[in-house]
Amino acid sequence: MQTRMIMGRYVEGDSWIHRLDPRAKLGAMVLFLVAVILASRGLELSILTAFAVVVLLSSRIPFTRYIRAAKPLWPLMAFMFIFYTLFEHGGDIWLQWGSFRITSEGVLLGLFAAWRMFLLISFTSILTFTTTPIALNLGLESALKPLSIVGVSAQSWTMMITISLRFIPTIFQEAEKLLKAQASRGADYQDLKLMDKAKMVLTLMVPVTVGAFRRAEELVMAMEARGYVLDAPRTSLRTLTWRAADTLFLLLFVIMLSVMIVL
Amino acid sequence: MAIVTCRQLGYRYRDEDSSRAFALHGVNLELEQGLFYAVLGSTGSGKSTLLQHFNGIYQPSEGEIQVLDVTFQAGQKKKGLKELRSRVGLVFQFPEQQLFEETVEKDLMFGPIQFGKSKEAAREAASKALAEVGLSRELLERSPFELSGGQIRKVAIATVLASEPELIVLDEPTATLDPVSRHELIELLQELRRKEGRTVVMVTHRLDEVFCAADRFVLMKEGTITFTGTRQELLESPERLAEAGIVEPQMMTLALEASRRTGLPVAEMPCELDDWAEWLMNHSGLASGQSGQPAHASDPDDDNRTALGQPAAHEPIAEEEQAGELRPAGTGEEG
Repeated sequence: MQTRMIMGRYVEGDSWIHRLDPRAKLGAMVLFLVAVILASRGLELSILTAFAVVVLLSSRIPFTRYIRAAKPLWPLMAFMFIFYTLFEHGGDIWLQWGSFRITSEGVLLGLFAAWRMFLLISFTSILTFTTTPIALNLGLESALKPLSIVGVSAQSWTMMITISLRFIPTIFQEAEKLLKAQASRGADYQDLKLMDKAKMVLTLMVPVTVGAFRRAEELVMAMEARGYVLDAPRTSLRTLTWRAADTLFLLLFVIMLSVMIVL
Repeated sequence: MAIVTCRQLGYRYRDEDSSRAFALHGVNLELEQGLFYAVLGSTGSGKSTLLQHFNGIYQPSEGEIQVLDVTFQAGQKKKGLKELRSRVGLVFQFPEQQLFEETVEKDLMFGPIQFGKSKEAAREAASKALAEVGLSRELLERSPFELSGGQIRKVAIATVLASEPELIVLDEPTATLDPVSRHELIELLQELRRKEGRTVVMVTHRLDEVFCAADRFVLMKEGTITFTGTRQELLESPERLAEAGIVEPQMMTLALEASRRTGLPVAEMPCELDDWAEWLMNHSGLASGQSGQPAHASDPDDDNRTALGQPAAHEPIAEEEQAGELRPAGTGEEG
């Protein structure tokens, strides 16, 4: 009940990663994503993990915070592991029960899939943990600008992404409050069996969605009341400056990806 | 008999930074059955966290809390709290985040059904609770999301009343209510306490709305309790309010000022407005001859006559206090 959604929240700090240009961080995340997708062997994943740990530690944010960021997705990781374990039939047979077989390859692939997922979520949290929403907004807008050639509005996409990131934790908190209200009135989520838990979560869908729409509507009104017009020409109080450290950061990821490809 | 007992109760939010201080720390509190408690404190003082311990939503990180016959101790996670929760009703701070059913009626019936009532009995309880908070039966078939802010607040309170709990805990129930509804709600809570012997604990930022209604006051600051006592005790130490960041209610200012100017003990000061009217009638001799009094009320030259021209029926007070007292605020010697 008290698990707080921490993914997508900025964590105050003054590390070199905090000071980097958001565009450098965005680029690095894309490169990391490619590396994670490419990594299919234990060795590659181990190198990637070691690299990630070094970068995460240099952000001077408690390491446990990154691990907790992946917590909401543990059920998904468990599902992926079980799925691979049950349906991938290569390698040595470890256990056989009727038509069910648990094989070495199935377990290994399941482990790799969960590992990749965990790595991706924990590592990419560095972007939102070390970048203020305003800087992230500017970085995204700047990165998406080239798309305006094909008629895509960078500003509206940036606004959508920023608002989504901003509201993910809020929506989770709202769901948590509803669960508390239900527990208070005799239906405690923690006391229920797995199936009943699933049913209970489903009952939250309607009020949480209604709440999200209500929030969205209020946000639109508040923005319009303060003179926001979508796609109107805007100036920015803060401007982004690309420094040598940003190039170095991006270069680190390029080298890491090259090593992965060579391996 | 104590219905809630906290001993060195402390609570820390699990996922917050370890550097963060406890949301509650070293709380010692005893709530007696059948009384109306007002819990006050500035934002972030731990009021809501404390309240959510009363039905086991939060369980202590330090110390222990006993609610009715259930004891929660630090380090022990208790489950299966349905029985306790049927006896302790908790209305959360944000009403729009505690209604989840398709219709108001279903939402009102949720608690009673979970606590073992039949559908018919739950339906009856739903209608009764809705009437208690002053809403029309027509709302029963409406979706909770179609209601106005004030109506949502009232329905949220009714969802808890429908289960008829012994201990009613409300977190800022009067916020967003209009003045009339606010007054009616306080009256309803008082009635539940007086007629049915229920215990009421209410968090509020406005001391003036509960000043005359509550039996006991609990002041909180930075996760600790700084004061627990009766209205009398609060009147005797008004500086505690400022410490907790609470604005002194007008009724309290009036009582303190009247006591200071008349020399009568603050314990003898009334609270409700009609009692004040009565008191002024009885003590109006003190005010005779002053500006701001109706011309016919007293003879400006006769300090010993009351507003009705009768001899003053008050205890003898010093001459200098008789002169120049009970003037409108700002004209006296406040400086």
